[in-house]
Amino acid sequence: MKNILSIARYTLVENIRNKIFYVLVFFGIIIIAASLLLVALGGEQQIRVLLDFGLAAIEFFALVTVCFAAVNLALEEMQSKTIYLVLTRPVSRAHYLIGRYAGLLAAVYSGMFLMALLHAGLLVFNGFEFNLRYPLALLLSAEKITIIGSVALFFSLFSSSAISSISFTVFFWVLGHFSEEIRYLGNKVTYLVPKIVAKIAYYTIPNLQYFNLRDFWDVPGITGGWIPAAIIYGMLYSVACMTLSLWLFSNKEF
Amino acid sequence: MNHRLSWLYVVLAFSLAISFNIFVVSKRFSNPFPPAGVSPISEYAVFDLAGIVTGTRRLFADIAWIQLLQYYGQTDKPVGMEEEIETSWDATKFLFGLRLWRDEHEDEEQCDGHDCQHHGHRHIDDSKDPSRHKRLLSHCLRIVSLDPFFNYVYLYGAGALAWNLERTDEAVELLKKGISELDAYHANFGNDVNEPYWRINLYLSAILYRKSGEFLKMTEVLEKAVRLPECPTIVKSILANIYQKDGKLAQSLQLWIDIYESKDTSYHSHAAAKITELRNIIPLTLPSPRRGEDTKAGGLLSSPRRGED
Repeated sequence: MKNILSIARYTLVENIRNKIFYVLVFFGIIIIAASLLLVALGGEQQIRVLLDFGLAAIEFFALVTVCFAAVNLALEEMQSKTIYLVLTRPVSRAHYLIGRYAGLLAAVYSGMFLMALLHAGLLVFNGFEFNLRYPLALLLSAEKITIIGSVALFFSLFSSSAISSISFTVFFWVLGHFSEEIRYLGNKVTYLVPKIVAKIAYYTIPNLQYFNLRDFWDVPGITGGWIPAAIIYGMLYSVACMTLSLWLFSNKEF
Repeated sequence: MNHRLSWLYVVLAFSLAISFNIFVVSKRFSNPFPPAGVSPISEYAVFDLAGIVTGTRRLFADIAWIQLLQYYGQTDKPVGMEEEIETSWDATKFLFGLRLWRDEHEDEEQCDGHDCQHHGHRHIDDSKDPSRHKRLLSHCLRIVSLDPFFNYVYLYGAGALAWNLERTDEAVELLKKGISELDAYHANFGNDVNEPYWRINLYLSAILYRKSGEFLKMTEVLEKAVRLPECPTIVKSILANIYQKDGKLAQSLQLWIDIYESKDTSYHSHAAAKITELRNIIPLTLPSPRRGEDTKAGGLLSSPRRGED
């Protein structure tokens, strides 16, 4: 546990000192502040526009950050061979990878927190009535980022190319949001093989719509009864992807 | 220290996650949105699909909403080259801070509410032409195809179509679409949809009364509508104009004050002009505002003191 925490702390500091991380968080903050311009065009729906634009921007910049950082998490150290310095010490590969992943998530969450703080301030300033849905929507966005981070890490170890890893991860992001349409297609199609393929895809691809509370904001009578189960599912899926990454990493010859 | 992890752990971990998805989460979750369809405006089809596949339906509905406001705020008449250059030059000056706020404010002061168009809004009186803004219904349908629970669009669109553009059939079509979406959602999920359902039906009945020429009943229904939350300013201004035509000047004035004090700044100057106009028509005997409560509207409202005129 001590090893994991040390590596996580080192990764967190490394990410926070990274210029790309700064640029992305700074750009996110600028975009959220610039949403005030869009708000001016929103007529009588100004708060709705500010809310949606901010939540989507926070998630988008967190996604970009996690994609780039997760893909380079182990890849860079493997290519520069600095990984030997860590692995020759009494640190297991599992501890190394878990620590790196935890540190990365801590860095991305802190970026999200900063952006959310600014966004919440702008909302309150514009007369938004704060309720539990806002932090819950952010929490579920963070859960999406957790899943996508583990998926990106797996692809970086699997493909050994940053560009292809990012492409696969973004593809998974899109598929994850498209999963309800995949289910619909699976139910509508009459042929057996496409039906089975659609069903398998629906259940194996991480269903990111479970975590899309920011899109269900105005749905009447929605209770969010699925949210606790969705949070557990997100954790299980991340753990499964991490197990796969660990398996790949433990079998890797340097 | 470096043990090799068995692939059995991987299989076990994925089996657990997928089984949990199949037997627990997917049983509790139902997507409230209808499946993605074709956008009613073909040139935005790819753009709208991007919103669906990236899980940002609401954000894209908001962008479509802003596009609707810009569409409804612009004139259908072709703009001359000179006017285009002048507008671009004005916008450039404003962006670089060369145009002062005072200049902008002076424009508002000069706005007389007739044949005047600025700040992305249009006035109610100058747009009663059924042949204008032919794609307004398509814009509304595009928004609700992205987010069927964006109830404000049904109310705003129906108000604009029925009273401003005199196209009651299209307004009815839009409201019926809203009712059918709520019906389908209620049938599939069993959730309570009474509030938005009732509100849309109220607007529908007002439009149907208008269509059948029962204006008294229509006014009664509109009076109920303006008391409800989420009532678009466009509907309030319609009722205020009806009141003015019927000679109910005090009620009309009260509505314009509400509009003036609302968050929607696009009606600010028009409401101010109306308040001034009505103030000059009727001798007001409103109670003077309490100390510290002298708002802008209060200032506009207060009767002229003796000797001031």
